[in-house]
Amino acid sequence: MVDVVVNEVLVQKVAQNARLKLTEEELKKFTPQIREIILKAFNKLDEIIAEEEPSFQPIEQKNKLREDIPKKGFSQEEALENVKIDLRDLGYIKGPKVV
Amino acid sequence: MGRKESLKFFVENSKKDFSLVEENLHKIILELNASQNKKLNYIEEYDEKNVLQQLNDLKKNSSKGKLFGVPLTIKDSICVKDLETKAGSKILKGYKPLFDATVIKKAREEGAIILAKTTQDEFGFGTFSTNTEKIPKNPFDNERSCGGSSGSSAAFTAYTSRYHASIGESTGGSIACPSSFCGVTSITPTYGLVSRYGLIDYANSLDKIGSIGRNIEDVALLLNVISGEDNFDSTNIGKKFEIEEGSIQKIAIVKNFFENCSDEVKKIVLEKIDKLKEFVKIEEVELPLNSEYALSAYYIIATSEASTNLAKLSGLRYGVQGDVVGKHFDDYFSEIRSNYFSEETKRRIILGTFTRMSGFRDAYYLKALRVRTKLINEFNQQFKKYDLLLTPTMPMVPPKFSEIEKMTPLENFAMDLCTIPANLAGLPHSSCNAGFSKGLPVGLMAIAPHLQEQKLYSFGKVMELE
Amino acid sequence: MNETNNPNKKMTSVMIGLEIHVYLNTKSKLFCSCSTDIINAEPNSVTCPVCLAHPGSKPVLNAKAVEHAIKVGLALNCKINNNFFFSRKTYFYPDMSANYQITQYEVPVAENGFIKLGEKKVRIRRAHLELDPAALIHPQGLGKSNYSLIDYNRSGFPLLEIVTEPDFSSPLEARGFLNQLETILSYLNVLMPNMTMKADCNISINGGNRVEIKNVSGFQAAEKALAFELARQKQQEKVGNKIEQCTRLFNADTGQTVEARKKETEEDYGYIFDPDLVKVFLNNKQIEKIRNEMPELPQQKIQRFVSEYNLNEYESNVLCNNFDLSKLFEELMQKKVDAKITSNLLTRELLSILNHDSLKLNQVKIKINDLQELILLIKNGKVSDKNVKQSLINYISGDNTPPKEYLEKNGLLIKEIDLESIINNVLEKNNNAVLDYKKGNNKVINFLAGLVMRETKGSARIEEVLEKLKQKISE
Ligand SMILES: [Mg+2]
Ligand SMILES: [Zn+2]
Repeated sequence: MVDVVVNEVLVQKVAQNARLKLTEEELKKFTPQIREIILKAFNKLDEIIAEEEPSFQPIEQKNKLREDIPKKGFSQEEALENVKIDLRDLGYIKGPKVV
Repeated sequence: MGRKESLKFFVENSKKDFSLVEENLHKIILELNASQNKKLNYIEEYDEKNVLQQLNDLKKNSSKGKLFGVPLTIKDSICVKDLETKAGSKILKGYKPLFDATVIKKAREEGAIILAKTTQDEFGFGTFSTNTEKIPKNPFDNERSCGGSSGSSAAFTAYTSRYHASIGESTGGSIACPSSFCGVTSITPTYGLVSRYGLIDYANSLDKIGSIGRNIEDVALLLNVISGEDNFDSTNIGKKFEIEEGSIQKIAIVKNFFENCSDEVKKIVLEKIDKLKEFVKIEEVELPLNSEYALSAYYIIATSEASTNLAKLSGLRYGVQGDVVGKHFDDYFSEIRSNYFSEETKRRIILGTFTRMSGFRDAYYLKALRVRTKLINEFNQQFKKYDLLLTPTMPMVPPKFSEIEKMTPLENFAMDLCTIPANLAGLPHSSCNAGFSKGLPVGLMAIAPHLQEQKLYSFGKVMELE
Repeated sequence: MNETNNPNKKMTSVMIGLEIHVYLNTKSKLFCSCSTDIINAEPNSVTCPVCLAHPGSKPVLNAKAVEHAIKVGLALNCKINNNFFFSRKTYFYPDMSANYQITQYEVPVAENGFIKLGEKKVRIRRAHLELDPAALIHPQGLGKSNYSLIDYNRSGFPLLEIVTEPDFSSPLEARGFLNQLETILSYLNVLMPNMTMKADCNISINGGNRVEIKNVSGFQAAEKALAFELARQKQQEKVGNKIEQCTRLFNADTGQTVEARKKETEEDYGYIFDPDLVKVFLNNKQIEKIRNEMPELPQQKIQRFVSEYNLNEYESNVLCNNFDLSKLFEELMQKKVDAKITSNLLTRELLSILNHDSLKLNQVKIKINDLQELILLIKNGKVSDKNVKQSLINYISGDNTPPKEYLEKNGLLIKEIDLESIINNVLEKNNNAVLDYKKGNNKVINFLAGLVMRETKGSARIEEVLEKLKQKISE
């Protein structure tokens, strides 16, 4: 049995982990909805024992490997095509800072 | 609405007379524009110049394929080179893929014309195509939903009078549901039969690209073209769907799937099944584990996978991009994601991040994968005795938008109770129209064992007799 | 020096563990077909939908990377898992295109191995495959830049992460391990050229909290980072501060570690199986096949050199700890030259020249024939040690003239007839000295030898000159 208290603190923590900043309003709205889904739907799996191997996919496939042969991909122009103009910098892509 | 002949008939004639291709395309463009003017919201991205260019190229092309001249609409989540592809999401605004999805490549090779991208629930998160900016309307009643998430693929198929088919995608029932609500035919194939390369993922272990059409022949033809080997998708099975009859000796209806369906749906579906009894033996079975646990396992797996897929959408390289200078990445990513994901997407990301968090992942994520094995076994047990299992596709007729608004997220999830088990198990299934209740279509769903799409094809033919 | 010998200090117990990331030598990236040859490439010009994480793209596993990983696993005496898979490790960072890393979590390619470091057994916990993020540039330096610049050419490079148990008790020992690991990997020919190994170094003292030094580039740096951190922790303990569990970064310029910014929220990786990939199943036959194709490893080669060429353990070690050097040695052995002289030439002269110029053997042009000629000259006593060295320096760092040609051109070879006449000449001109020697002043012989050596421009062997002088005088 999973012992979980679904409250605003938990929802906030999970949202932060997923890089979502919730408004006060969203937090108020989501918390009971998420609580209901977790407690009523997700926790339902506690009712059954399942010791089967997990099905990563519904049909087990294996050994899809590729030969180590390099192929031409995008040119620099192509790689930058969807990048906003002011985020292109001498072939580099501008990103946010890390410190 | 209404043409009786199949695409095959159209293609054969088009090969002899190109003007048929031109006429069909020009008329469908007029209908498309009319639907836009009437704010039916079926079309997400349409580029007339691009379409006419394809027509031109086709005229010069001597290799005439199985879909020669057939206009196809494509669910927005499937990448089409140079056409804006955003899976119904604001966060991908402006993203123009530099490559065609494998299904698009295969369709083009057979002479198809890629007409337009159709609207959908954002990333496939929804049952009614209401989780998007431009909400499509049911062609039978504009106050009602056309279903989701491949809503407009089915709706436009029902709407147009021209030769046409649509490529949709299903994670938990997103092809069958709108097919039912719009009275068209579809096959959602076995997981892995059709390459997912170029599909913007919802949940990778559940996503299946499939075909939607006016009748079973059209659906089978399109599925034949888009299925088959692809080395760019590791989960691809490497087989092609061949249009052949599959043997059907015995069928069963899944009795407990009917329990939560509305009376009108039950009535129409059971009447249709009574008629089918002339052709084939039909018994009753129960899938107790599936009706009890499939929904839970499905939503845990789907949100777990989805929340990782969506991590890449953070305002870098493509789609919406903001001002990065001076911003710490945590703040920048959070800002873009919070501003451009819809409420439903945020909810699912939070659920999916929760179910795989340390301390919880064994109880939710891993458990759900184990339960999936159990549920697949339950199906396989029945397939030892039966060739097909039948259920209503949706538990109700297309609801009004005003009714949808009142549903809680959990009630919303529960609408997929008939479609989710087959989707979770990766089983091929079809939805065909079983009749109408007060002018609203009702769908009948048939589920076949893995890789037995031929049985669905044969069954569809029986459904369309009369 | 050794703290155990110092009765005034109590013994510090040190636990060090390493997580080493090595680049595997493949032609294409781990999950896409982009080339790994990016040395001269413009930024973002070796990319594709997969390594840029464009929506709709899907990964496909590179078979070569798996083969390399298995080889390493076997060389590290690991158990190879017959059935393994890949997971998504989700964390947000501007260099990680998908914001999740495809790595291995529950079941790695290889686990539970060891390598011997002298008498000590260092346990290997696991070795797993994962992809490398993009390269980040901070135009005004890490702390000061207002933005980053991203180059995805490296995004998706194949990494093997090798995790040890905390079995090292000193930074030096950790360094020794890294050296040995590199030797093994170069024997296996699995290392991508021109890429430096990166290590996360974990260190704790006296059973205290573990401090992780992230992403240290290169072995020397790893040793330095650990040494600094060890000293820092001892100092902290001495003044009574508790050592906090934390992540630190090593600044190679200052040689110091600094604490990384503390996160508001602890990152939760939320591992799931990567549903775009499928399991890899290996049968024992396949593993045995790879085992049988494994090249000879350093330990085996060291023993073989001792028995086959009659070298001592030390020489054999020096030769074999450098894969290219041991290869060169064996190529010379094929020419049937003297093993002892060759080993001396390579381990003393050649290595010291390379070390002096910070060169690697594969960076210099050496022809077997040239060395063979030199060895023959040495064997026949035709060249002095000093001139051997000089000719070799010129060969490697100079104009690349073959040693023999160089020695000839500069008249540095010992010619026996010349030595005779030079000695005769010197003796004739220094009659007094000869008489002194005969009277018993033994030191005079050195004076005479010096004169001879000067005449030969140092090309004679001093032992030979002394011997010949004594012989002549006593005649
Ligand atoms: Mg790692
Ligand atoms: Zn690539």
